[in-house]
Amino acid sequence: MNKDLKIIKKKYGENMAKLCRSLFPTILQEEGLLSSLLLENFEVNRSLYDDLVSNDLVSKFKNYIYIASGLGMDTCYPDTSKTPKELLDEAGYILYECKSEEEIQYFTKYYKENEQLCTFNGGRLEDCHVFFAVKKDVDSIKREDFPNPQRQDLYGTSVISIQFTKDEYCTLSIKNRYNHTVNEPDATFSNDLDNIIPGLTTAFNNTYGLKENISFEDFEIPDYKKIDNKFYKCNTFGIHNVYYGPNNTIIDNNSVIKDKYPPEQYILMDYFLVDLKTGKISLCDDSIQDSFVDSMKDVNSVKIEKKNGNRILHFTTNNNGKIDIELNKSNSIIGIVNNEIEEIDNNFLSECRNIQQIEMNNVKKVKNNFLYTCESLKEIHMDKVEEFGDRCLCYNESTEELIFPQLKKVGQNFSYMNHKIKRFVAPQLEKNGQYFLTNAFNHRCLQELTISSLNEDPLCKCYQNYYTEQSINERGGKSR
Amino acid sequence: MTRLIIENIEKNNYLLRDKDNNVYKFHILFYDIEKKPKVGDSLFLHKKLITSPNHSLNFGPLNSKYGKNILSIEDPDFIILTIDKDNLYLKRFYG
Repeated sequence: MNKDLKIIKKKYGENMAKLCRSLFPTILQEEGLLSSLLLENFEVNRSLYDDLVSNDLVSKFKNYIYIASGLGMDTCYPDTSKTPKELLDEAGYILYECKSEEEIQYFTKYYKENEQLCTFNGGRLEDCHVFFAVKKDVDSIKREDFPNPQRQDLYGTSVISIQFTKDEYCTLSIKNRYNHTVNEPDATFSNDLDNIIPGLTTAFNNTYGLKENISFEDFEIPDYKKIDNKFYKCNTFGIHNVYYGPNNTIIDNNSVIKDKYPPEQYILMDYFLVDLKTGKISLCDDSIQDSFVDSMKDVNSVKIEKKNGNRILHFTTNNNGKIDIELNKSNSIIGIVNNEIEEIDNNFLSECRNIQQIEMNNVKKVKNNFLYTCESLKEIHMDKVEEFGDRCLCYNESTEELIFPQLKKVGQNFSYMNHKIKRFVAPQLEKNGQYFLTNAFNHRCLQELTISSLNEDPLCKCYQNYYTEQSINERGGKSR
Repeated sequence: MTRLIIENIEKNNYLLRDKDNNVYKFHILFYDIEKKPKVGDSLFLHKKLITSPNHSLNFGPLNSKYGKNILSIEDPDFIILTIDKDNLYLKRFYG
């Protein structure tokens, strides 16, 4: 294996090495260059590959490294003598350039009524060059055949609007036929024309003089801070302008602090500090209000187990209770098993975004802001919980099932953002606050909604009636 | 929500600064509002929106047919634009 790729594999993981091999054949010809570029620009962390891929940044990362190498961006785009019309024809599209408002309005017919682009509001031509590309077989692609919209599916990409801003940046945006029904609809094909068909970026430049003017300084990765031209991964949003990252790294008001907590003695997990000698957990910043520390006050020891690249911290409490916390390779909390506590106070892990599984089967009461910013939660087991406060699971977007057999009451904004949930089962739930499962109702993703027959919430009743009709008519889904 | 003060506007390219001196650049279009923002005015945005990888944003009235249905101030697509001392409650448009 090439020496640079060996270094990259060791520091950033095998997937990153494979990606670099495919993206940078030219740079790899100069020994030592690529590995130096990565080490200078990206603090070592083994989730960089996952972060680039999940944020659709591979193409922009490629551009960034080529500029940093001094070889320039033109080196990385495939050449072509074909026009955009010809290339898109090969990809199955017909390309239209819009030069008037009437020409833009012609395309409204392809969009569902509540999925219209705001381009159709008028005036877009003052700010952007506007193109539409329509699949040749568009008439055979029906919206009703896609009950679970995905940005890159056949319907979403069957009519796309390609727009470049009319300023020095020439920012490109490729707009989706689902519009706001899917996430990041204005970044279809990751805003990379070559993802539609290789050569398209060059073709737009050659034919129309349109090419995104990406400045070196403008490259960003979500959840990374750039300090002195180097990217550092952060596990949390900034809290009082302090960011916490893997390898016990803290970024405090744009200063990087790496040596404050020696890894032999401490683990920095999100914004909590674990003392490996005593098992004690504390907050890095005492002004943060989070009741997780209090819930762990009785621990007296910790052991670490490695598992599939992650680590599990096994805590023991004073009365021999067991609490397990799983950390990913960036030392962010992804799983908790704590059946020792019965009540959870305000702001429990409220700034932790990466938790995927939680089991707390003896908890009966939860106050406000429980897992408030957590987007990644997939499984939650709280079989005895009777009450949630306000804004609990507010930003959760990943859980498909919420089952709470004893739940009687929830506050406002409960699981407000979740638009993927399929089953909500809480047969004793009599009272819920405003904005309960709001996005689930908007997206009509629920297949089962089980609540108490004493629940007076008109929206819940309306939703249950909707399912009753659906099941009578065609679906055979469950409703109560 | 985080308050961002408008430091510079150049052809719909906004330079915004928060209280911790972090600077953000966005290309922003405002639809269907009477007064357009100027330097010194403020935008209140959710953290999720500030850290979104897409820096080209469009905003308009809450009751517009464009964009999602916004029902709660917790929605990341909900923003507040303060022009002089007037608060405008807007939502993100897509497309």
